[in-house]
Amino acid sequence: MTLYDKLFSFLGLSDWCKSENKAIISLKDLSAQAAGKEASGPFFPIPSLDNLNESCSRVIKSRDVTNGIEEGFLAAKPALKTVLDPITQPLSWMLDGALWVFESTPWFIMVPILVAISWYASHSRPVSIFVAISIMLLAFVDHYDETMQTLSIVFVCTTISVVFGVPIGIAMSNSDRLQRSLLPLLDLLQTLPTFVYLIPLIFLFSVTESKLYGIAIILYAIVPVIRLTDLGIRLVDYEFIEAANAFGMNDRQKLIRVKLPLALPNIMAGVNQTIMMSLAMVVIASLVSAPGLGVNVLRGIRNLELGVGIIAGIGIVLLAVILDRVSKAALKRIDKTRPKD
Amino acid sequence: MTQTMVSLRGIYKIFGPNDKELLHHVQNGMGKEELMEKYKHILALNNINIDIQAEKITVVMGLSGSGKSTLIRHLNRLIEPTEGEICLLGEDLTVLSEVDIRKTRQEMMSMVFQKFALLPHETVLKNVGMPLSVRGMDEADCDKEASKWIDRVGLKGYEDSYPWQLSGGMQQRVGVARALTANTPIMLMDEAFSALDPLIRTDIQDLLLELQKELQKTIIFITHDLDEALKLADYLVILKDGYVVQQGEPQHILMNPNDPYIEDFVSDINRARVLRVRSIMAPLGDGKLPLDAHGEVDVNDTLESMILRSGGDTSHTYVVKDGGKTVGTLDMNELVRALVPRVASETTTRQS
Amino acid sequence: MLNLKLKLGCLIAAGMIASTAHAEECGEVSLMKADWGSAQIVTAVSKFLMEEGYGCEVTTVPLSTNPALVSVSETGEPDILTEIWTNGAPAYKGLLESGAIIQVTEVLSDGGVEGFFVPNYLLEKHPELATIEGIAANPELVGNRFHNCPEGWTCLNVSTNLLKAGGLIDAGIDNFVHGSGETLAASIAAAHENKEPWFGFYWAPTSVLGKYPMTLVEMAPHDPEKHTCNITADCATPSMSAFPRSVVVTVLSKEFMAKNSEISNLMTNLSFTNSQMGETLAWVEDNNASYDEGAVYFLTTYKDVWGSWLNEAARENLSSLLQ
Repeated sequence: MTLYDKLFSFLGLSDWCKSENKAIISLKDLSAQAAGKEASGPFFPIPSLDNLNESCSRVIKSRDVTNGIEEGFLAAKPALKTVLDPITQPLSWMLDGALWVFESTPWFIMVPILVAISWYASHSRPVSIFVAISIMLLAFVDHYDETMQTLSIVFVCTTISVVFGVPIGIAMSNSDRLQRSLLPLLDLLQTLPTFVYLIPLIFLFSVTESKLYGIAIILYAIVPVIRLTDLGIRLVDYEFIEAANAFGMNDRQKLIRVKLPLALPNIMAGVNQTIMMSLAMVVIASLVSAPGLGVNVLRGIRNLELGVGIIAGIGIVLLAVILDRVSKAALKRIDKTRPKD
Repeated sequence: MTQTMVSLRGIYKIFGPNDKELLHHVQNGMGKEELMEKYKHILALNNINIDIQAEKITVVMGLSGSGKSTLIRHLNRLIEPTEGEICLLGEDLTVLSEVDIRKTRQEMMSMVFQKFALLPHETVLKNVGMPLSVRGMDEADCDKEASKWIDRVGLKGYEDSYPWQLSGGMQQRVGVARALTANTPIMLMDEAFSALDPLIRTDIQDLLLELQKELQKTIIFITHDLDEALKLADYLVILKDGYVVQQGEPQHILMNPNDPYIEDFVSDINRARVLRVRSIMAPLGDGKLPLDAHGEVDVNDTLESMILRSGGDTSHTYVVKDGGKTVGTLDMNELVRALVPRVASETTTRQS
Repeated sequence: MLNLKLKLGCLIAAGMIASTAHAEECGEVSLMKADWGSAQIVTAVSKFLMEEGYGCEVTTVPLSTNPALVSVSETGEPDILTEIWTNGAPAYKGLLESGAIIQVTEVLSDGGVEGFFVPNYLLEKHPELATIEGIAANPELVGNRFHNCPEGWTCLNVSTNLLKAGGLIDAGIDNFVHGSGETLAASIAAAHENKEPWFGFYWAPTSVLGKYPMTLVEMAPHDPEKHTCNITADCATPSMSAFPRSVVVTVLSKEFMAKNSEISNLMTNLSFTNSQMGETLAWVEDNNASYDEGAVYFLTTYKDVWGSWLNEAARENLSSLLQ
């Protein structure tokens, strides 16, 4: 007998509470039955839906709430799909295309190209050599294909994150109101466990399409570049904006000639973070059928193959270090605002 | 014939969210402290009326908090007035649209800043050419024009350097070159030399005066340094707490301060070096020249040079000439009297 | 005086020790709890019977198959692994032979069914898809795709080799390897929502197959030799051989077997037929119930079944439920 039983009978709702639904017996009730007494519990349990349902069957259970959300989502799904599918289809094409390019280009062309790109970006010999050694090391232990797959995914997702993230950051820097409304959303995307927003994504998009894991990665990784673009532009010293205004620059000229170049260190830091977060998502992406080093990590976990998991994990770390060094060196090279020492 | 280039009429500026609503309080006499205390708003400019003459250097002077930086930014509407008109050659700038005010800034006004405000990621050449490229001129022409001015301010050879590679004085010369490249009739200079060392400052002040002789721009110059003001000003405006205490020809202000504040302000200067003959001469009234004149002096000679010339003899008189024309006489006794700082008399005291 | 008090004290203490010794009879039992449906039902039913019937202190440990096997062989914990699908556990045979674990019974007495499935609604429209040959001839009817197991599951290699042997790869069917069991199940759910074609690997008894009725695709019967080759990724001659009936067992650690004979007997008797388990899982789906509530359903519906698993004392304790 709980407080709520007394409450409902006091309110005269006992009859109304008896609903048609056949009650589902819980294990607790069954063990009480076995012992031959009424199920005992605290007199004043917390007022949750399930506890109230015990006293009054008309009160919905919490699982009805979760089911309700699911029903609602399923009902909205067709409409959402017709809107979202065409918009996100290019993402699938890009991911599939990049995968094809990275996988089918023979290694003796691919590796020099990658080294050349890192040289062009960083103009740093140690970094380029490190890139070459790391990739060849991974290839040596027969992880070349997976490495290329992961690289292609990170490449596409980072590019899209930057292409969309920088303009959003610029828009945010222009409008305090926009910043106020977007910041909670960005916080949500960064802290909500990725599995939680994977679930609706799996419902919305077919698991066999690459855009599923593409969107999962982008939603997580786009946040730093948006934040840091907004921050970088806002932090540009007002004296430069004032000078630009004094000589009659319009908004576009101010953005391209003053704000973006001066915000570039922060924007590049954002890009660097975005790359790192894309890599961090690699294993989770593999849970929803992304190829690459993540698959090996998962295999290691499932079969308790320690070595497989560790090698793949080291591979991911090596990729992270390569991409981090190259992007940082590229930043140093293009940042003309700092004296060279 | 001097022409009014820019006219500030009834300019008020209050900083705060309810500036327009609180304006009438100020117009009815509420002061800066009271506004701050009661309404947490800052009264920056209080009924400013100034006429800026074309092709002359107008210096706006004041201590910190006097409103001078705010004032200069009203001229190109970097700051919007709470109330008042800014008339450029008769046209009120306050009613112009965004696009039009930008055009005005591009074509009519350039600015030099205290902290130089050079774009650190661009070379000196690009920085100097910036006003022209903003207007849409193609790169080659911008560079050509910029090179010319870089040379003119004495920085030839530094075109491809970056601002961080230059000293403070050189950076400000770049700033001046940039403003000159804009080729605008008006130049706004916001404490442009305050960040420089004294010797460098003197050099660049001389450079400015030299350029002015050649270019005759309408310059509005802000400073807190009285010596600088007196050296550069054709017309001097002294601000305190957002209102104009006195404005006029520097010589006139020195001879006729209208406020104890002004007296205090000018008390320390070397009057002999600053005051000129024209400020203390007696104009030629009835055409009669003194018979015992010791010589001829120029209307713009300093009193100091007169003391040297006369050997300290106060009995001398001189004929004052302006060019070839005789314009007045100078009595050495008057000169000695002028050396003593003036006190605001009943006639000259400011009616506030 | 002191002597009397001392004697009394000792007597009481002895009595207490004796009574606790009696209560220690069952003691602590640790149970593996896997996250799929049938395993949850088995674990919940076992736990209830042990606690209410035998007075044990039961703790459940969330574990999946392979980690559970490693754990029990290295540390002897948990005491009881309630549902091990031996097909998916390469380590099992070795551990069994070493004696570290003891197989007490097939907890799913009919064994698990593994294989290639197509949805019933698809089969109704296109009966030719009932066989491998039929699918090979009409790949577009199944959507040109095979939904395969994730990397690390034994069925991945077997299925891939079967696809090769059956000419399905040549027919242009895409061998799509899912990232996780969850997405495999999700793809089945998604296909059923829109009545789209689906063709892939799955197993019974499961809630998924309870909720989304599918039919096993006919294949050549199981051949142990061919199957052994199919398990390896680099099988030179992949050939058609249906999945063997999956032996699903309950396993005890050898220490527990020696220590607690009553519970060991219980677990030896505890076993479900596919129809019992399937019905229970279907009930759970239909009523949006939890697996614990599913266990209650089983206990209330199949009283005569589980009554016979218990010893005398337990039957007495649970007499009110056996009515």
